[in-house]
Amino acid sequence: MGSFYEDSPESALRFGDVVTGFQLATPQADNPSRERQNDWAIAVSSPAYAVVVTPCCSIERKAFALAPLVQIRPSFLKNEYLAEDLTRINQKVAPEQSVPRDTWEKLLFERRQFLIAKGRSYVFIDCFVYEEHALLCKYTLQRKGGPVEVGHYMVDFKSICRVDCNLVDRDQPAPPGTKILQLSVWTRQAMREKLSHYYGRAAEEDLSYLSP
Amino acid sequence: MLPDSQYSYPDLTRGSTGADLQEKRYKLVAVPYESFEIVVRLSEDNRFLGVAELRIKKDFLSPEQRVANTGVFDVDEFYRE
Repeated sequence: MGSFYEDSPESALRFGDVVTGFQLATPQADNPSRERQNDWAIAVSSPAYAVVVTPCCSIERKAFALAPLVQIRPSFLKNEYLAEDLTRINQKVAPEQSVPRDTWEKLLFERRQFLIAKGRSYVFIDCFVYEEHALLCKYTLQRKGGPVEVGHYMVDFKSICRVDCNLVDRDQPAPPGTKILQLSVWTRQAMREKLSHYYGRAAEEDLSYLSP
Repeated sequence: MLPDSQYSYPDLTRGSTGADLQEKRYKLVAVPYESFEIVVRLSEDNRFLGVAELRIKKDFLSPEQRVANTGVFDVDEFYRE
């Protein structure tokens, strides 16, 4: 596997690109109801960075999907193997690497066997970690062991929103000044695979009804 | 030389390499049996000719084994802040 980011990014938007300058909106409905049509709100945020989560070929017709690029979860650092290289979260890991080392030692025999039976699998299936880069600001992460400076970010697949923009269309350059980083081909494929797996996995309660 | 319309495929292949091999005149059918699949050879008029293969059915995983094959470690409980 090569570098995390593309050294010579294209002008057009690609899946996984880090962009800036877009606002994201989230409808909020505490009490959804057909009768109370006015009981809702829209939270608008302007994240420093966002990630394109529309497949490359579907970025067209002035609409695409973005997810904010956010700080990593402090709990990632509990796992020595993942903390050594946080982008390992993006790939399948061995069973013994899926939990902190001391947790693995203390796991009940049956639970450990269950994890071993799965073979290499994903942890944090809803997250994809972005490697630190000079163009991404470092930040201080508060955790139990004390603050730590971090340059990695992550995208949470549960935070995807649609954005309409007149300047976004197929084979068109990204709106001026918005595109910051482009993933390398290998990293983009890794993100594609993890996002596909996030949506593609069957619910455990459905598995007994589904044919393999 | 004869015009193309007067050549037939058997005429062209007669005597060529492999032309004397017996043509395949059976079909293979997989019959499920418990955790196995028995592949039987049938004639064109569905007469039993023999067993061609015995293989393990891929649909033999228990619900627990299928759960184990989701490709995701459900370990979030060990990462609570």
